[in-house]
Amino acid sequence: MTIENLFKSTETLSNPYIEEWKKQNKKILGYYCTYVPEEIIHAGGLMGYRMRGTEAEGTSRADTILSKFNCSFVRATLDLAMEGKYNFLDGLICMNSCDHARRMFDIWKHKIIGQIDGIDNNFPLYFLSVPHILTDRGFSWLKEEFEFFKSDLEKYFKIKITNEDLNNSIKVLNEGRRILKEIQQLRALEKPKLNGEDFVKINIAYSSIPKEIVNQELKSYLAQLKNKDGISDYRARILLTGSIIDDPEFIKIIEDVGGLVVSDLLCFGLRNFWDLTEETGNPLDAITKKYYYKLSCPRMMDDHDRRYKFLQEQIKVSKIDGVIGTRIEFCDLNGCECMMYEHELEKINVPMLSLDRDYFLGDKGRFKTRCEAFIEQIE
Amino acid sequence: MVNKNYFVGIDVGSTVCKVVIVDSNGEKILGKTKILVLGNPEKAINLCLKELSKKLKIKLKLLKKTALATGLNSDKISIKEKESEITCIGKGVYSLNPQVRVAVDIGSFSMKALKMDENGKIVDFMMNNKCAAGSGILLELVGEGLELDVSELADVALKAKNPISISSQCSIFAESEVISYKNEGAYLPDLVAGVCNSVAARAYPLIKMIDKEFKNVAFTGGVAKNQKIVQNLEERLNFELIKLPLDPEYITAYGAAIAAKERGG
Amino acid sequence: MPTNKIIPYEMLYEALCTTKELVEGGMASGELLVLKSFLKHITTAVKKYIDDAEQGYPIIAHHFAFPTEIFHCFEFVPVVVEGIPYILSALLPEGAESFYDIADSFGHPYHTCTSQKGTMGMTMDGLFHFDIISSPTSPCDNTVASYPIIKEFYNKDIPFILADMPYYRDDRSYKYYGKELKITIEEIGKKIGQEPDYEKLRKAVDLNNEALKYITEINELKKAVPNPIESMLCPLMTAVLAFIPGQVERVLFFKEVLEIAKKRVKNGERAHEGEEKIRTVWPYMSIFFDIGFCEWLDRQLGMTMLFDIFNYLFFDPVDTSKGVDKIFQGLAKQSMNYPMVRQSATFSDDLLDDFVFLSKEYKADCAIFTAHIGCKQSVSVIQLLREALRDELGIPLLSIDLDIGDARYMSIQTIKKEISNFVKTLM
Repeated sequence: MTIENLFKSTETLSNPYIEEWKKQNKKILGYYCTYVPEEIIHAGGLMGYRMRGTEAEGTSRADTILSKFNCSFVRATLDLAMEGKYNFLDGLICMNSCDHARRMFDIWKHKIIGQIDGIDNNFPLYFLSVPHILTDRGFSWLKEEFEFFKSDLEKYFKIKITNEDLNNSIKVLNEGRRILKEIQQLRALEKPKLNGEDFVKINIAYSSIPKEIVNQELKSYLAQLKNKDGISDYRARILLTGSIIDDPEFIKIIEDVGGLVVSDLLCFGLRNFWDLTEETGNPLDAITKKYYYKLSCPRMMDDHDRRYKFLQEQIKVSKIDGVIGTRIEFCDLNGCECMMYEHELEKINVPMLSLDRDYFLGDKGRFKTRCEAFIEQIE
Repeated sequence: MVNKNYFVGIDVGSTVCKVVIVDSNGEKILGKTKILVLGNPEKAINLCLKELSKKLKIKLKLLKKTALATGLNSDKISIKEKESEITCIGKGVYSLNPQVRVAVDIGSFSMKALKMDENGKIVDFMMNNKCAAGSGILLELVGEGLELDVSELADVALKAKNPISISSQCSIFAESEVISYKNEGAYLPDLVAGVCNSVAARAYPLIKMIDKEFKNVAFTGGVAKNQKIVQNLEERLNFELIKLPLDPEYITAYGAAIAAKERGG
Repeated sequence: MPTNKIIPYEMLYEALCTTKELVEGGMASGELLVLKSFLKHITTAVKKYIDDAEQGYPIIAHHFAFPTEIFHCFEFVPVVVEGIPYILSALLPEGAESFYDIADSFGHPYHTCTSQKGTMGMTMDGLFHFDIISSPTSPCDNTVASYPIIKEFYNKDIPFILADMPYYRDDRSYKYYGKELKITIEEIGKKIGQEPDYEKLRKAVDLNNEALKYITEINELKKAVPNPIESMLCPLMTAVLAFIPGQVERVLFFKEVLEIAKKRVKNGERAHEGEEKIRTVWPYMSIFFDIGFCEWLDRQLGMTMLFDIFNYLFFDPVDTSKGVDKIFQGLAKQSMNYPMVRQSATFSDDLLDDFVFLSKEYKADCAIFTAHIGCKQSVSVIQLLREALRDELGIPLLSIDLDIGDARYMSIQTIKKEISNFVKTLM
């Protein structure tokens, strides 16, 4: 296996690693949000798979259910499910992450389960109610949620998840996170060792390939990167934030016009690996702590200041010339978050470009022009 | 009504005004014609009626007396008798083929689907008219961008080898997407086929939302003349659409004439 | 900074007085009875808020999804963030659009909910002075996303007190949220320097309980054919629930409406001449930006709006006899099942069941769904509801894409045309 294979696996929804996993009769659970505790899934011998819109050609199937006021990313994932492309999943975990994604619980329940080949009536749906503010009460609530989730998995898949299993999974997941953090450091160098397009690919791979395998692959990739020449022919260093980006093509547009994406605040990015889980003490406490207090997403209502502080740190550490914030149409959370960043960054003289977009990159020409103009302006 | 030998149906839409005249039984079409509205629906109607009056040798005034109007612009004209478009589409389709249960109509700016019972009574309908995505105006915009006439699009599209997938949901974005592809040197038939497919892709959900069994579907409105769209919609539905014995663009006007007959006869 | 500014409430008061004059002067004594009662009581309540603000009472900007009476353990002035733009959009001739535009001009996305956007614009325009901003973390992304902006643009350091609402509707959640509410009150008390007066809270809750009794009776009478109550009660009731919590005016309003309804049922009358042709349920909200809209339904179409999402209260009175904690738990349960919160802040089952139940019990002929651009969690289940109504009861659902508080997104003419066509075609 090489890094090329790993990259190639991101171009399709399923991939050879998943096929191999399924051949061994092992199970895969899909999930929509970085708040879902991967350690618990892993400890049960299951594989977590982050939902994507890859391979979707449109949303005409999903549009028979959802409204045009719904996010086109979520519609794309639903379209794929209706097409039967998600039938490699053995369960789906939803949570109250955003109004579009949380409705997937209801829609899978009424329109997918038992109605799509390969997703029969026993297909389990899980829901996690994650608090929207940071308090001690919220912590206890979330820990209970994770406990319930653990025992639900145990019951359904007839497995037993011990503290030892959890401790082991914490180590495995942390290993991956450490490697990704090291890669991020190489990305933030004066001459970055990799571009943003490849970086999003490894993040996608990290969320769609069994952890033990992807950790090995990323480790050797990291070693290769260290010996590589850095990139110096760029015009501006960009930090990317906003709505979900699971399409490397999108980053390529920015990088084709000379903006090198060297940092981000994204789900298929720093938000997914930045925080490690403590390896001592009660494992469920440690897992809850990690997911509750991690680098948050705009779904956390009282945590904007911490996110902005992190953004400022990244601007400094990664020597950012400009920030690009994108909003998939009808994404209230990221639309508002980007609006706040725009005003805050203006005060500290960091240029920011806000882009409205559809999940599908049909309108490439317009993006390219906007990005080009922005890069010219900040170069 | 004064005369019961013929009834006039007028469908005055946003772009084209269509007029159909039927005989006293509503069985035979005595005449039909159409003209661009160009911002003056009253004038468009008069021109159509004058033409038919000459052809059928019936006085213009008498034609007007048996007329019933429908369509987006029907509230801006002097014809008193009116009926909703949905009803007229239903009546038109049902009169032409009572087997039809679902009709989908795509005009310049709107897309509608309706469901009928075995007696032709409309039991449900849906429309999207806030957003013109997937309606005729997209074809016009794209046609303009590619310097093709709307009527040529289907023929060009049918030559496609590998239709390009147009993903933009909005007509304006879609137009700009098409222009980008054109500038990248895409093979024209592939591009036009992509646009046609995207119209079919917008029609499909509407049909599916209105009826879970969705069988016996007819496709009407100006856009239904485009064979590439018909073909792609059939592929999506996985069955053939019912072909009606009248130019799809005239079906609403024909339904209006039937409605006039039912009121006057 | 000038203290205790609630200029939009003053605008509201003026608009209410003008409307009152018009209605009382221009209408025969038997006409628009419900509206007249509404105007009388809400004017009194709003006047009191303005007076209290002048007295220097602290101003609490809060979400409609709170059980607003919880604040009644304080001397305070409530500002319903989601309520004020929509009631102004109904009463001001120019609507509330200019306030939405202010927020938009600061970069607020065009598709967020205008209910919060309006207050955001008013705040950016310097029309409000708040002492506290307080909200639950539900029912929607707009709540989560827009409140931090209101706070940020108003005053970064203002106390921003949130109560976390869980996603489930079970005892564990009610208990958790009850605690959240109590802590919210304690925090607010500390910030405004008032000790919570729980006896005052109990009285407010008792008044709400009394009003609830009348509401239940009114709803029972709506089963009559023809429906004895004008459609306009639906949006008016929404306003009363939001603007007059825990006060005697709330009780009086519903008591008067009940009297009107009883009399009409006895005589087999509806509020208007002509027959009741169509009975409808509105699984989302009525249209706020056009005050005459419901009258048009009643008069022009003979259509009764039986319920919108705000008019059937799927909860029991709060037991106030067993101490403060029980009151908070009761309020938690009530507010988690508060109209719209119940149907949109949790799984979709309640929305589907509620409207199938209401359509069946109240013999609705069809449903009309106002697909509000701001409300992503509601528009995502329209098709599920359409199918539930179609498959279980065989009744159709019309859905119209619009903004319930902004006349520019979809004009009232187009909305009326769509509804007329729907009715003409199907009935």
